[in-house]
Amino acid sequence: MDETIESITEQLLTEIRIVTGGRITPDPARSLADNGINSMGFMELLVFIEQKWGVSLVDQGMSARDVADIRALAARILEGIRRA
Amino acid sequence: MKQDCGEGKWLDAFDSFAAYLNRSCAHTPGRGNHFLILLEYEEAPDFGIITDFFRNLPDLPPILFGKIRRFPGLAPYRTKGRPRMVTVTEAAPDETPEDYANEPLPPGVPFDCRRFPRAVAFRFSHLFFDGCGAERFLLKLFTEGVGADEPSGLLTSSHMNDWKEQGAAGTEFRKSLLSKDLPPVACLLAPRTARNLFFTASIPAEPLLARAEREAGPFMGIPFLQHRTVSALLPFLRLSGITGDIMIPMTVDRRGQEDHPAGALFFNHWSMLPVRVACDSGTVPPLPAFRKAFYQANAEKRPKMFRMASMPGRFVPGPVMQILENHYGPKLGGTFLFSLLEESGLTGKTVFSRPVRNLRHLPAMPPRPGLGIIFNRAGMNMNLTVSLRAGLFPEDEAKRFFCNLQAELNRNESVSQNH
Repeated sequence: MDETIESITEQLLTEIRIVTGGRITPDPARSLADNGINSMGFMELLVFIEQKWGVSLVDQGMSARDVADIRALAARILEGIRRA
Repeated sequence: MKQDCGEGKWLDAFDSFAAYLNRSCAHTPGRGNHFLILLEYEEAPDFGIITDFFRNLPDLPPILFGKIRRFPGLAPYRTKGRPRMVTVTEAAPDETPEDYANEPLPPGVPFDCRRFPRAVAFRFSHLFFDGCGAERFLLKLFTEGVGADEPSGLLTSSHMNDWKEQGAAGTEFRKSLLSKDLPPVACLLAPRTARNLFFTASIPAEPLLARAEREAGPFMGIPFLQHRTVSALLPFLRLSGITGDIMIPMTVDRRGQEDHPAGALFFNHWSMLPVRVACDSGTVPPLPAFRKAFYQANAEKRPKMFRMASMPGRFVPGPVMQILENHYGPKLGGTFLFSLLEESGLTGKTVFSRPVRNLRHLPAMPPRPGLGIIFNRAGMNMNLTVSLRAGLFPEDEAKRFFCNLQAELNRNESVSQNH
């Protein structure tokens, strides 16, 4: 199935719920930090992204813009998928 | 083996982590690895206000009552007993919090308290609390109250006693960290002394974290701080003729993950995340190597493995354990312990009728690795504590290392190694 920003966003939201122990309902328009993600949670998310889409953001590097909100992160993943 | 202590609800008597600390601190007065949480004030509250607070406290969780029992090679565990009062003392005129940190806690006491002219220090036993849990405990104590019905969050999962899972975790752990094919780990040898040296500083948090994000990427404060620490430490290791890979056992708070309740207070909800960085060339590895190692350690789920790996430690008699520890200890102990607590909830709050200006952690180190680099953010401050067993370095060298680390953290130029 071809991924879109929307489909990736949905899967990220589900994973963020898991990473944060279901404490919050993540909002795609808010930053990762505002969605309860800290540095350990972010690592969990990066592991999920590599396992799910084969995109290693640790190797490719990221900027603050890429985590401005969950949709921005989804767009960055989609870019990584297309680049591969 | 789980024991229901009635009012106490738990215990998991075979917690391998507690067993490890118990064994490694066997020759430490009080046989503990206690730590201080220091609430800093412009001027500390009156002694009477502090004593009254504890005297009038209606309830404390059952875990704070009773006795600690120990058997060789096994984790200490608690049996229920009578409630005990929290001891509050006044510091002697020349006494410092560091002196207080070097006194052992009375046996079986979970925490006590001492007033200094500009601080109130809480001394916690590692057998009951980890740093995150202790902060949370204080926050609850001073904002909501900790009642007798407190769901203490002691481990309720049975997975620690799933031998099949533990055996598998142990195998994976040995493969990733203890393989004979891996180079040795650079580590210092701590003499058998219980005294710790402490060096502390407060660094403005915002610019430091902004620099970490610029140089290492978003949410990469941990690899950034580890890289800076190794940059400051490596020359001292080389001077001592110590070579090998850098291994950083890092403390990780597992609250809110898997079956660890987010609001849990007590000891067995933290773990280690051993981060190993190849350092065979003898020069400081570049920052991306720390980022990658941090990622790798998470991808392998090492905190879970580490918490569960030491099945032999639960059964093997002391002398055999000692042989295993001599063999694996240096690799498991690592180069230095690392900790970053990302936010302290008590800063700015009013405790004992006065606003808290800063909160700092002063942990004593177990014999291995004997050196700890502890960061905690408290409001505008990023607090740094270097804690080491006396004799690990000569005192002037230890101070020089601390100054070099401070300089590394305050360094202004930005060398982008992100991409």
